[in-house]
Amino acid sequence: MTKARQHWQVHEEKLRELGFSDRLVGEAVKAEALGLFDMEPSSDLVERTVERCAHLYRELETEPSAVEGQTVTMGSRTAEAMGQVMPADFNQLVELVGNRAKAARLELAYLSQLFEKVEGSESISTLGVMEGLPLACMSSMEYALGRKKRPFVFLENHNLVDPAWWQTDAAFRSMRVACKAVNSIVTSKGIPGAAAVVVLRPKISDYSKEDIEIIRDLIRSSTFDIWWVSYRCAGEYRDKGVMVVGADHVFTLNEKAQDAWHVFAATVEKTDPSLATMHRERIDDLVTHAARVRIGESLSAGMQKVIEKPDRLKGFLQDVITKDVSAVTVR
Amino acid sequence: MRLFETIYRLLVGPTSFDSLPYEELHQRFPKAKRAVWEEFVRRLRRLVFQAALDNCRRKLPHASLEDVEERTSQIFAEFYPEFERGEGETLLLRFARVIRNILEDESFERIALRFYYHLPLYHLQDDQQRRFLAALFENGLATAPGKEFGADIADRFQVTLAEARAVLTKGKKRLDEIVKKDFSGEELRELSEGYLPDVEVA
Repeated sequence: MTKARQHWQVHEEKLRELGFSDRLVGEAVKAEALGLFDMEPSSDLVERTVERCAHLYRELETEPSAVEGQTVTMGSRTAEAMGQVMPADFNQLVELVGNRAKAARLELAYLSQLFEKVEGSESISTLGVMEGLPLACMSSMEYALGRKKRPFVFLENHNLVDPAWWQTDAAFRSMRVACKAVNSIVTSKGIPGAAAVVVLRPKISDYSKEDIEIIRDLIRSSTFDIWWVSYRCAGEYRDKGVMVVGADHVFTLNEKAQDAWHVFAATVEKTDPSLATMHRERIDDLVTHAARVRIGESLSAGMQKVIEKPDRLKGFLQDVITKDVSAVTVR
Repeated sequence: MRLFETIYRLLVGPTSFDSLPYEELHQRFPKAKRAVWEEFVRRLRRLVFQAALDNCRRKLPHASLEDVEERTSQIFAEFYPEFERGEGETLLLRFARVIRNILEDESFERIALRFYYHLPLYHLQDDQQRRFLAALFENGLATAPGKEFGADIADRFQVTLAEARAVLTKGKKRLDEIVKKDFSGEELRELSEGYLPDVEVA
């Protein structure tokens, strides 16, 4: 006995209830009666059809790009300046992404100014930082590819920012998405991705079981190169969070945040090439006192074992907190 | 390249390909050849497939899926040069001509009205209404196997069945207004070989 096949079905009455005309519904009903819904196109039909015409549109796509020479100006974002051009190659894409991100950040700054004298302007400005950070990260690609340096360097501080926010807060999550995109592109060109040096809390008892679980998940899913540095070795960064983006953007947090919103509200943004260079160098120095947790796409075999079980990770964390980095080994 | 396209689409933001009326589809993204073409094929593949199936069945008694897909793909491929050159307003009209040439008029008649409804459909400004109704028309007004009416759309767009039906109802009302107000009766008849409007326009 053949198993009855289930087909696409035209719900005539429901379509009429929606108000479709008799002619229109009649056409669909007739198609069903003729068995025209009995056969389904394959899921890759679109892809195959598009590929079939590839030789035709490829010729056209090699024309000079409209993004060449494009400048980003405030308040004059034409369709082209908005980036409504599909880039044909890698460099165009990077330029396009950079320009778009810069334009969006300029608009945010402009909007914040407009709201300065309005009630709730503080919230608008915080919103600007929340929206601006991922965009700043995206725009750092050009810097990374041009200077062959990390797109951004991040001094994360567990004493100021709860690691759980990277999972629970939408703005933090969009940062992760932006980082992932930037890292994928720069590392594909042989340039190191973004780096995070994490200042740990002073005692292992400062971390709850849940914190350890979250840190474990974050290490697994991160695309950053990560180092851990103990509170006692963190020097001037003990109670500070810093993000250096590209050549000149520095975001600083100098107080313990009560919630994720507070992080963005209290973050100070500066555009200062010498300050950015100084922080890049100092954070780089700090790495010599830090334990390496993750480099590149995947974890080392030793680290794989450490994060397999929360108690092993806790042991490693404890070693970093209490011992000299030279004595810290992956068990 | 998929990651790049994703980033690009994220950054381009609200002007996504699926929001563009046929009249603007390739004009708004003159360099995005592949992505625009993919959007065009995606929107119409099921309807063209139905017409091709009808034609294959009449010509080849044992037409296979491969035969029908080959015919479908051939129609799109033959149309591509036209897609590039002509006026946006007449895009569907010109595509219909190619379908008729390859498949004969009778097979095109099987899909004609649902095909031309795509023209006013993409004038819906409300994203949800447009996407839900577009999904219904892309599926030839049919519902996925084993589902209640609207349930496949509810699943696809992550809403409840009641919400999906409510959006479809509102969308249909708005679509009627577009047919009446955004086009003159004569214009719509010209652009749809007289298939639209399919009801008396007051």
